[in-house]
Amino acid sequence: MKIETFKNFFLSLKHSSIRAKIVFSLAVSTIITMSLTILLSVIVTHILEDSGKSYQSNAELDLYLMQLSETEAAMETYMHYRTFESIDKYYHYEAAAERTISMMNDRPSENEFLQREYKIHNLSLTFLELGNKAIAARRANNSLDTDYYFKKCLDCYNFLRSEIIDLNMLYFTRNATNYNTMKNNTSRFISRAILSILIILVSVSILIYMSIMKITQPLKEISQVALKVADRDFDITLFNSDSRNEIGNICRAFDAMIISIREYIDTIWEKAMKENELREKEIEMRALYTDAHFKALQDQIQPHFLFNTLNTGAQLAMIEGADKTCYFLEQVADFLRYNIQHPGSDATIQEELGMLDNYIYIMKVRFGERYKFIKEIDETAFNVRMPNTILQPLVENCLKHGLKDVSENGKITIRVQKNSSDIQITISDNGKGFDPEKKDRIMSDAERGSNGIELNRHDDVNEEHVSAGLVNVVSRLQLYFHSGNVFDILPNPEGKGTMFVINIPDNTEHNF
Amino acid sequence: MKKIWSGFFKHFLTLLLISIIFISGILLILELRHFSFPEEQEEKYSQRKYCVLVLGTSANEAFITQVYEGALSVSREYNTAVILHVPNSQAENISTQTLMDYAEYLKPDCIIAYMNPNEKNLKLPKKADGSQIPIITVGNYIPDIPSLSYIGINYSQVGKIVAEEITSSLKNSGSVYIIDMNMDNNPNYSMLMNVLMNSINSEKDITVNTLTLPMNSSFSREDAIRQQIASSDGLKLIVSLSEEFTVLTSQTLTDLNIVGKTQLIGFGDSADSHRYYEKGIISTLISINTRDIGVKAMREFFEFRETGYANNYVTSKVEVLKRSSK
Repeated sequence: MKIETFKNFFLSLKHSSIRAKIVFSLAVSTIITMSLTILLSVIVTHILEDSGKSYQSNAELDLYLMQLSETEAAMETYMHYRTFESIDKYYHYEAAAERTISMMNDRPSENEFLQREYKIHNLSLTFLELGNKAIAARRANNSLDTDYYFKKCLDCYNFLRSEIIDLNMLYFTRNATNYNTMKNNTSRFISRAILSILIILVSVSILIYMSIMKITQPLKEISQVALKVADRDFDITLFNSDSRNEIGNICRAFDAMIISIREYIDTIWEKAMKENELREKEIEMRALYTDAHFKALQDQIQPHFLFNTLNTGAQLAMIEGADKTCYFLEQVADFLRYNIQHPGSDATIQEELGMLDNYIYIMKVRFGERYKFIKEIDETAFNVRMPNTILQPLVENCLKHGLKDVSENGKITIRVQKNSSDIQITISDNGKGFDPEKKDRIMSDAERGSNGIELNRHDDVNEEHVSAGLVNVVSRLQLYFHSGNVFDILPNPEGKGTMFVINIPDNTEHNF
Repeated sequence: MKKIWSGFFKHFLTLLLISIIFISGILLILELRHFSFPEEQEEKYSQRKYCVLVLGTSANEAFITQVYEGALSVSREYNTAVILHVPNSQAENISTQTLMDYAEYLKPDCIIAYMNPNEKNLKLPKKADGSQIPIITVGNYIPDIPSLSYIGINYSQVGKIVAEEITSSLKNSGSVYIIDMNMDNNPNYSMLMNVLMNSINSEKDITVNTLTLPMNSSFSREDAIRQQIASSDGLKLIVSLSEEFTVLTSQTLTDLNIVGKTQLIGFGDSADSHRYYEKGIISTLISINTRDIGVKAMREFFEFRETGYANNYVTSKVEVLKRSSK
């Protein structure tokens, strides 16, 4: 039962509030200090009392001896001179002596001091009795009795005086011994007391320090954790405190906060990951869709039939001797063949330029010398791969848009330049330039993966078709090279007009 | 694991410190006991109902002190405090009457007083009501003193015992030297000597000689004894009838290196006498149990208090310590 009580007490102490713990510690240390002070005061008071008491007995005996002496002297004076003053003095000191006698031990005793006191008591009573008898006889003028009692009184007084002196000396000896003993005890006590007090004070200080540490250590840990959290470091160990005081509450609140922050971060991270996945899937889907759409277009055209038909026409022209017609038809067939034989994704720059040459020939036949085509090609970049059907739509864009209103001196420049970090292909014209708003729309459509095709619009079908083609080119370039900076539309630096810039990263995975 | 040990250590340290504080405090409190003097505690339990005063002159201090000790040994039995009053020194020349006066002033319940021989006209102490304080006499029997009882030595018996020891030691023949104490005026001594001589004289083969010490000699007693013994040839047995002479004779025999040759029959019950007896210097030690006198005196007084009667004459025991002769 007692063990259970102690256990409950310590548990309640453990789970008590900080204020209660501090108050308890202070109260205990104060009580201990006060108890020490009171104890030392009691001991010092006891020592002082004993010191005083030890010589009090001597002082009292001296006083009594003086009273007896005065009594005897007064009696002698009265015996001789019978004066009023002497009898008055006699009775005065006799009364004082009687008072002192009444405080003495009046029973036999084994103890030497009490025994002597008993003797003094009895002798004193006899002395006073004989003295009174002598006084009475003197008053009655009975000289015989006066002499008899006076003599016996003096005799008794001598014995009494001797006993008092002996007892006084005995007290003095005992008091001196007691004083020496007390002095030794006091000096021993002082040294032990200093040691005990030092030990108690050190122990109390250590206990108070431990209590303070116990209270402040969790606060220190909490502050360290708070600083880490402020620095966005959530990789910390939870407190998992089972204490039911304020510190415990703070620890549990902190743990809950850390857990919820971590969960929130995890949730956001998962969401971001999912959004990224979805976006990539959407881009892939769009690319696939475009590819499929293109393929569908290719399928719609029935390329093999067209190719075969063109070949047949070329043969017919050759039979009829129309060489130019035959060459023209072959170029068209080559152009179509390129598109048929590269149904997939990419081709080399050389192949792309070859297809572009076919297209340029076809355009020259169509437009004559209306447009001039300038080529500056770095042949070291020939083996670099790129998506197919990129350059031709750009040149087509220059012809149909940039140089639309140019009737003469129209120029289209095609450059392929190998730099240290990339291969730059530029197709520029000296036409009317490119509308910045359209450029932004095209670039944003390409960014979003939109093909910009609105098949039901009729007001400017050609413009819509060109935009769709450019968006398709930009999207495929961005998808192929995984970069948003692979294509740009700039003003022609040579004056007026537009320049399409393709920056192909010099990445070995796209090269042979 | 580390945390568990750390917690255990902290708890252990806390308990240890608390224990140290309590123990230090208790030790400090216990120091208080050194500041109370045992005499103060003893005084509470030392009170008695009756008071017996043992009186004697300084000449008989040794004897009366033994009587006092005997009375003290049974004081608790009778709830009595025993007071010894012996004047400080012989120079004060205090008479027995002075002691009686002292007793009257003190008014004890009973007096045990040593009586010198030939004490006369003593005024015995009275109580406040005028009745006589009961008095038991020891030392010498004074018929004129109306004592309750006399506790004493049967000197006649002692004389016989000494005669027997002499006869036994000499094996019925030889010479014995008795140290003369010059106490012929002492009736007890005279009685003892008379009985002794009468008993010895019946043994025809035993010769009794006296070693007389000169009274007014410039020599000390030790030198006187030494001179007497050294000048006497063929001493086989010496008898000393007092403790003082017994001790002096023992010292002389030792100094003269004649312990084995000369036997000594002596008196005494002090530590010195017994020591010489243990060493074999004293062959027969006769002691009067003086303490027994005090014990018997107490018993007689309290028997008187209870029954109103007491034995008028009581003798104390005589003890004989004897070494077997080789």
